[in-house]
Amino acid sequence: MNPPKKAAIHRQSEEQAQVHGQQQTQQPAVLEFATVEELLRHDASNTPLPPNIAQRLEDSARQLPAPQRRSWWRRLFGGPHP
Amino acid sequence: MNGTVNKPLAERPEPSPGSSQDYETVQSQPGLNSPEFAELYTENSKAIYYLALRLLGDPQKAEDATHDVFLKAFRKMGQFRGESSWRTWLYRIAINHCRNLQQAWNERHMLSNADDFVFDTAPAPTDSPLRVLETKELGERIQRALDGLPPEYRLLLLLVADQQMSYDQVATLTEQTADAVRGKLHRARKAFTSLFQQSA
Repeated sequence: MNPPKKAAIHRQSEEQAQVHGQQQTQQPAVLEFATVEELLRHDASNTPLPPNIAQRLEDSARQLPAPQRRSWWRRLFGGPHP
Repeated sequence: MNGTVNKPLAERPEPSPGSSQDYETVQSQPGLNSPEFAELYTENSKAIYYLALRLLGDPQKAEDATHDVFLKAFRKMGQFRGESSWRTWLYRIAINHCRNLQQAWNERHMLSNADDFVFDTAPAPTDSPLRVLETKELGERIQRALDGLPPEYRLLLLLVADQQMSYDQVATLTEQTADAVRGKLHRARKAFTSLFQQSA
């Protein structure tokens, strides 16, 4: 009558190992940084750039006033800038 | 703590006589969609955003600041004379911009002088590794520790963390010698480590 009992114990330990494994995967990883700068570099590399900055920049640049043209004599003789 | 970081930095070298921005300079400025500006943005926008985020401590303000910095860079690109790297030039604009925002905020909220910052000087070993859990709160912990530092220490740590920046470049940006940067960095690391460990 021993074999079934052994199998049950084996299955139970397998289940325990599975649960233990799941707990391990849920735990956050421990990170180690030798310096403050390393920590900040890690933080910087994990900080995403907001995607809409480029679009906002393009919209803003479109609204910039066109540059004023200086008259030829001002450019030649160096008068005040407009 | 001296007031170095509170002094405005020159955003560019003074133009030589007769070379001030004129029509030709503006005309020679590359467009926003030009490969030059696109490359400048691609290579530096993440670093500028991160600096603004950690100096201002607010993602929306950092986004606005990054936009403003690059718009300013776009308008002044024709004046860049190559006396520093593009990254250094952009950092200079960003530091001044963030400083102006902070000063305006401080004036509105009647905050005390930066020299009055008090932080725990309890011994914190700088040579022992920092062990942290990889969680989404890590950024918040870093922000809290940075916020507890005097502004000059905060800026030095953020600039030195950028591997593209040499000590000499950081020294130029913060208007001091490289030796002064090294000395202050030692104290900045110690203060940060102490504050970071307290925030656990």
